[in-house]
Amino acid sequence: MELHGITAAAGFAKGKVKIVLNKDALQRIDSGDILVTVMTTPECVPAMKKASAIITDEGGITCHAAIVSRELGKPCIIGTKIATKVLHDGDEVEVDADKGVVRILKRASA
Amino acid sequence: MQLLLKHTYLLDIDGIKSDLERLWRRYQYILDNPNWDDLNEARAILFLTGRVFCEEIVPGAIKRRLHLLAKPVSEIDFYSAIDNESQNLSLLRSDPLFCQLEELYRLAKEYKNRNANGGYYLDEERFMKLYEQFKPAQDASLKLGYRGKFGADLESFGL
Repeated sequence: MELHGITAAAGFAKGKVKIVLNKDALQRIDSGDILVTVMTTPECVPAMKKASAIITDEGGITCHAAIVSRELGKPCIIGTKIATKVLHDGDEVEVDADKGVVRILKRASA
Repeated sequence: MQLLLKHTYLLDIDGIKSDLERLWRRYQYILDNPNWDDLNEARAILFLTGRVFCEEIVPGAIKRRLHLLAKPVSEIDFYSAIDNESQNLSLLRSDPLFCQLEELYRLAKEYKNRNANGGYYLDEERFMKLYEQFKPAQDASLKLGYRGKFGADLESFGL
């Protein structure tokens, strides 16, 4: 299954999804995780630094997630609309930010 | 806001700077001297400058001009070169149009990064506190940023 969005920062990454819907969830981001959120705010930056890629539901080419990910050199796909609903913690995904595509490789076991 | 748009059409960077400053000063003045009426003006400034201008109008103005560069670049290459401080920047900057577009983008970034007394960008945290504080009782159930339930709204109209 694939999700599509807008390329905010090019690049490629594979990793496990961590859904971030509130401040507390930011603490759960480990190095190499794929950070998935509705949109990022300044307090997300430390977690964005740890993540290997960033995926958001909302935002445009100059949104916070897009700017910070380009500054950090991390692949980023924005405006997927449904990433936080379709993806779940622990899902293994491939982020092909050059094409704006997220591929689900393996679902987390229930 | 119409002046800001006019100066953007003209790619008049000094005009854009001055319009943004004027709107920011008005926004700060309202937050320092709040009342319900003016706070709704502050809300309009926050939305029009932070969201519409910085995230819609500026990217649109840049995108429309990228093909006019001496060496055209894609949208993503334009933003990445600037945000990454790419080695190509010195070459790209030999084109005066690129320099103007870069300045426009940096202006929007700098504006979005302003936070004055609040922790959030554009002093939004302070604005939201004041908005909740001054909200009249009859609007108490209205939540800032509430998007409604589209289906539910339709049902209430019997559709």
